[in-house]
Amino acid sequence: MASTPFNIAAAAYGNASRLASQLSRPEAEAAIAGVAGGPNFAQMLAQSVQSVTESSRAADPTAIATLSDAATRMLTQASMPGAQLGTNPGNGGNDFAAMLAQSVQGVVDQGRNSDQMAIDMVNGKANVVDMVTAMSQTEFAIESIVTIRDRVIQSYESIMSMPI
Amino acid sequence: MDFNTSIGIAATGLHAQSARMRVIAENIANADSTASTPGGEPYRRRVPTFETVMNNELGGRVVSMGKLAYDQSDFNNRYEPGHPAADANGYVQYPNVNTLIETMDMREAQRSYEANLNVVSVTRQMLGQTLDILRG
Repeated sequence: MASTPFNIAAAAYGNASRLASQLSRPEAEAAIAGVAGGPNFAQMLAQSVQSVTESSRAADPTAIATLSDAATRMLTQASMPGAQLGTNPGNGGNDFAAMLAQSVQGVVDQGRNSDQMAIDMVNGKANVVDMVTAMSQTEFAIESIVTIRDRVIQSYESIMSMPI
Repeated sequence: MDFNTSIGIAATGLHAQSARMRVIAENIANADSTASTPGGEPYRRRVPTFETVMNNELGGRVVSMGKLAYDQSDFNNRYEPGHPAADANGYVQYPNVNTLIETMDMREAQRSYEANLNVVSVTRQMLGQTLDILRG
């Protein structure tokens, strides 16, 4: 159930926001150290970032990889042959990387399935209905993974452009 | 996933209706098929039946083409003494196929097929709209 595109989309959204808050942790702490004592806007902002960081620590005690790591790994894995996916151990970012590898693998498998179906269809062996449903499921999977990728990169960009 | 399940179930509906179309095509094509021997039985109209089957792979109850029953109604008798299938009184038994009824059945199959296609397209729309949340 965990590998279906919809669940992955939901999980990736949560993961991306968690990664975003964790990536900002060192900066947040530095900011708090810098502005401690002055009851100004900067301190308020720093405190709010700190509270987000604290809550993400409570939710996920084991530190996972930074967002940039995960995004790069996803992109490199997407270009690998299907057999190598999922066997890449990854350093640190186990759950997010594994989730991505699994979902990309699922897309690759579904793509193969619908390719085979289309070939069978041309050869007159497969049913039109089966071919269309297989194709549309692959389309779903690819659409989901592309949306997740865009979202992750968008989160990364908004973190990189964050003025601290 | 529920979306894939509903598309799969709708696909079985599409299969069932296309199988029904096959039976209707058989009936219409054989509307004039008589026996080749005197007094023999002509083509007997076939009636498709549908049944519910639990599909564990999909995780839902799907429709499947059941037994192909024979229509037990009487054959049409026509007086054609010169016909090779004519009996001693000169009557030929013609199939109990009424093309008007078959046309109505065909329209029904078409509508059911459309309904199942609508299930597929609405399911696609729902998933697409859900993904749009992430794009926003």
